[in-house]
Amino acid sequence: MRSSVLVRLVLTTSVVATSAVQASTMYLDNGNGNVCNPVLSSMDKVTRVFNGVYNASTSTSAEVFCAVNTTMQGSSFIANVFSRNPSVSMTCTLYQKNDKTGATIWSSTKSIAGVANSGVKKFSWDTYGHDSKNMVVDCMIPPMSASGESSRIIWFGREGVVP
Amino acid sequence: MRTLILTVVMLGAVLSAKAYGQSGGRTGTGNICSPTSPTDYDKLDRLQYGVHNTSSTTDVQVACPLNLQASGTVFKALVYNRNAAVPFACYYYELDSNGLVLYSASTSVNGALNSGYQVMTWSNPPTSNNMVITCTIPKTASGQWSHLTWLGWGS
Repeated sequence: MRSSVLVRLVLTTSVVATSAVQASTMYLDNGNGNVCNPVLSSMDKVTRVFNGVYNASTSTSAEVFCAVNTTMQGSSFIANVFSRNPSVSMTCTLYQKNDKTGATIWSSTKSIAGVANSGVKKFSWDTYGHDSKNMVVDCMIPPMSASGESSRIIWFGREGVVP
Repeated sequence: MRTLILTVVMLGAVLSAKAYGQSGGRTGTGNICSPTSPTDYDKLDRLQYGVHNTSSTTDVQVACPLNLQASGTVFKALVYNRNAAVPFACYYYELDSNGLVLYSASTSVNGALNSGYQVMTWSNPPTSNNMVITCTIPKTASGQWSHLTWLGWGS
């Protein structure tokens, strides 16, 4: 009888503790766009607000690198952006790097054409088989449009992970 | 019986340790913060105390992405404000992944020369995966720096 009670106690303890661990992993992979940092030549252009980074230049694209938090697995990787300069597309490359040498194992470049007054657009990479401990996103943020609209990196992270 | 009791104790210890390890506040140095304006890079400097404003004439706003594992019920920012004339003010934002604000709140602390650290708190359990704080770091006062030292979750 006592053994039975103890077995149930073990199982209950396991379930409760496991639930606590799972609940605490909900936000592993957040990535506000402010994680992104400009390359040296773009430091005079990249500006930050609470919902991400944008390029304040009216003439030149700005390049930023965004460190990817690699602690969560997922089937796809997402970057939510505003791409609002009709003359210049926003281009981002997701790199999978060797975690010892930094050599590129895999990369994929995507572009989103700019549309004035447009809402949030999504870059999406299929990362199945490309998870590693060293991943980074490299984006070219278009200059502000002639009408003064900024393009912006809002958020990036994994998709397809159940909390 | 003894084996089962031992199993219960060990399992509890192991799982508690694992849970604690994933919820230990997810601390982050203030060095994660960057200036919001590209003209302010030359005003910020960094130490083990986080970022500080070296300007004697200009307050500097920074943005700090909370690329941290959110776990806890209270978000905390530890700061030093050495300028009695300028509050050290911060806004905490929770956003959705499209950048829409789900929650925001501001807090500020007043300063004094030679003062020690102060802790700002926001009691708002996280519900999103996109969080950021923006802070205005006061300019120097009598040559003393104000620092944004640490960010993290607690309870």
